[in-house]
Amino acid sequence: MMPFLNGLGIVATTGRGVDFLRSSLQAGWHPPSTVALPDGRDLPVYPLPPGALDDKSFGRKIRRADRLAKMAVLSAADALHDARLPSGLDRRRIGLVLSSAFGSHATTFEFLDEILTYGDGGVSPTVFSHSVQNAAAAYAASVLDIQGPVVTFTQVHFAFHHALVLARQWLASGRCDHVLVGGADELGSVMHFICGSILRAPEDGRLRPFAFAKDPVSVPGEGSAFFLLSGTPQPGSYARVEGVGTAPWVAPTTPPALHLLEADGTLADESGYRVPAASGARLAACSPIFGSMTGGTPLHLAAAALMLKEQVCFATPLADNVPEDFSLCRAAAPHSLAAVHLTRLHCNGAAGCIHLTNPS
Amino acid sequence: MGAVSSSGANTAETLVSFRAARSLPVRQTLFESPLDLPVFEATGFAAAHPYGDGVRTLELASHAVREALADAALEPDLLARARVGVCLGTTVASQLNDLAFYRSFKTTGSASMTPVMRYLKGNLAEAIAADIGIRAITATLTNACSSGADAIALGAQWIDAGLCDIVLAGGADELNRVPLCGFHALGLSSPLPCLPFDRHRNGLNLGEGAGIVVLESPAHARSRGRKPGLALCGHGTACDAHHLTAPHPGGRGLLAALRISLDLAGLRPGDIAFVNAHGTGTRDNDLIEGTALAAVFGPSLAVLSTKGFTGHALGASGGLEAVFTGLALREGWLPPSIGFTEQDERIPVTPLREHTKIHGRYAISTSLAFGGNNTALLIGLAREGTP
Repeated sequence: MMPFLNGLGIVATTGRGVDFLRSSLQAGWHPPSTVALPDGRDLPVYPLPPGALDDKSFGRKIRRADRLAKMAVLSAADALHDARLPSGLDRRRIGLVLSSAFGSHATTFEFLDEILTYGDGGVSPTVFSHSVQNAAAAYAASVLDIQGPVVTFTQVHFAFHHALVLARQWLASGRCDHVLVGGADELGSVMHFICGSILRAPEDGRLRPFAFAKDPVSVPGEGSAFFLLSGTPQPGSYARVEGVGTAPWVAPTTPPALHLLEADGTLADESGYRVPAASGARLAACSPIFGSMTGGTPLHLAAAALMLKEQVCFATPLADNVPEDFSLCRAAAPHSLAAVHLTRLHCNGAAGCIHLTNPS
Repeated sequence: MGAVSSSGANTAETLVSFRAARSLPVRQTLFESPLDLPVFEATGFAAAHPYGDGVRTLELASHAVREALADAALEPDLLARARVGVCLGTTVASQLNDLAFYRSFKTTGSASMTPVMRYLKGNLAEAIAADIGIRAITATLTNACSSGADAIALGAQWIDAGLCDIVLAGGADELNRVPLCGFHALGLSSPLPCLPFDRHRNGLNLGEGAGIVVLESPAHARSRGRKPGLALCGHGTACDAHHLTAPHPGGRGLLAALRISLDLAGLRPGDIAFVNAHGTGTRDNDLIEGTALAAVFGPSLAVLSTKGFTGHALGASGGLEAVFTGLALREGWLPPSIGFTEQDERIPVTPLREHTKIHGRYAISTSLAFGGNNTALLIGLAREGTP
């Protein structure tokens, strides 16, 4: 089964929606904002823009939802809407898979705060129920009336790849006609502190995906992207998912027209990206747009899908560290793209790869 | 199969507890809390690899995995040659919920990164794969209380898709202060030992443990001359799409999950010898689950809940109960549904009050979860030559 990406929804530092994604990719790098850490340092970050999650169209259904759940609901709803599926779908045959590196940590810390402040017997039941890791997927399923299988993966590495594998399997086995598959990760005050403690921030705010550094810099980001995956294409399909997997990196049998590296400074050592970078394909990277996110694959996939659909290579921002013998997208331009390959590395040497092709 | 819970540190001890109808809720001893609630603590287990304080879930999982590998006669060299997956469900182990870390951050603006690094390195499935020294596809599934069952269903799909020859699947969770406070706040905890499906039930007791099954493709089992005694014949998962914490009043998702599992197995409701129900002992869960089970299987269904033996082990419960279901099929008898004495006239099924001989080859284990997840695992005795 090689399903089609028929719809896309995204909310990230680029804003909410495909139009904002496109304009951000066209505009290139912009400096991060900063948050103050408790020790007085400033941490560069790429948060959602103010108001990105303001949406009254769902009324009371997401009134109590936390930030992560709102991200997931809005991006999943946008992906479903973007696919322009006919009305009267059998909701029992639509599935949903959500991936996250850290899950609803901000609400978890809020619940810990409740324990410390009010004691074990005085905590809020609402905060507790929202801290459960599948709350975001549950909100999305409830709001969108998804009555098929709903699964959440929470793991630092490759959560989205497992989500995509499962979504393909549901389609291949005939369990589902369509699957909303996506990911979401958020920032928050405690996560700022953690990032400020264990990651190295660039003094100039610039991520360097092609530095292949043994001690890379990172700028934490947040966001969510969802895709409506179907066994058949719809008018306006973005891409076809030819392959997805996690294994030691092997060069694609046929070099893709574009190889998108997800190097974003979240690995302790990014020198391993030099191998896939040398595979001969034209290179690009979007991490300077989205920021550093261990669970950021769905955002990068959104960029890749848009490039395939619109047959354009967007310029790689911050191309100032690229070895001269590497072929890089240096300016946004129409380009005949038959396939795009995404690669994200794990510190244990494994690679998560997704291979997309032009749906037509 | 491998299991560790308050009913025993392995499947043999579990059967002894089930035979004796022994239930041992205690006042919790694992952490400080003023909440006086009965819980079910696992004892007598030891992980081969000491994970240190704060990752008890990994130790529980590691212990059960080793029993499951031994039960399946899977030696390290054989695992090294196979395409292996590790697919585990959890709730507690997926959260960075270290209270001391947060207290330090809140009061001083700083905290040791040790709990963070432990969390980053402690992803359940990845840590277990590393623990047993294999390179594997690893996924940690966090579907609240159906996590363990959903992980088993996912493992089966990995095998069906040809991704793996062998998958270690199931769930693990430790007793932890966070869910203890949370379930109490939701009004779902009983101050007394839980009474699943009983007229006077008034809530759940938390438990802990790990339940692991080894799933193996028929071709791979044949290649090493293995004749499995049990088979995962079907699985169904469906979402209520209704409410974050309350089940759909009509049991919509559970009914769908049950029917999908039967369809996948090519079986009819009458083929099912018994159902090992989720049966937490809460008012809503047991009413809706019992009603849905009766709607599919009829009121004379043999049904039990093992929560009276183990408490509700959250992400582990689906794994534990799949193992218990397999054990019962293999042994040919069921323990009583501990805690059930008086019929609730609104619930149209009657759980077992005594040890019962099993007549049939197939059984279902159900899991219901926060978020409206419902999963049914259909397990059967393997027929000769057709695992």
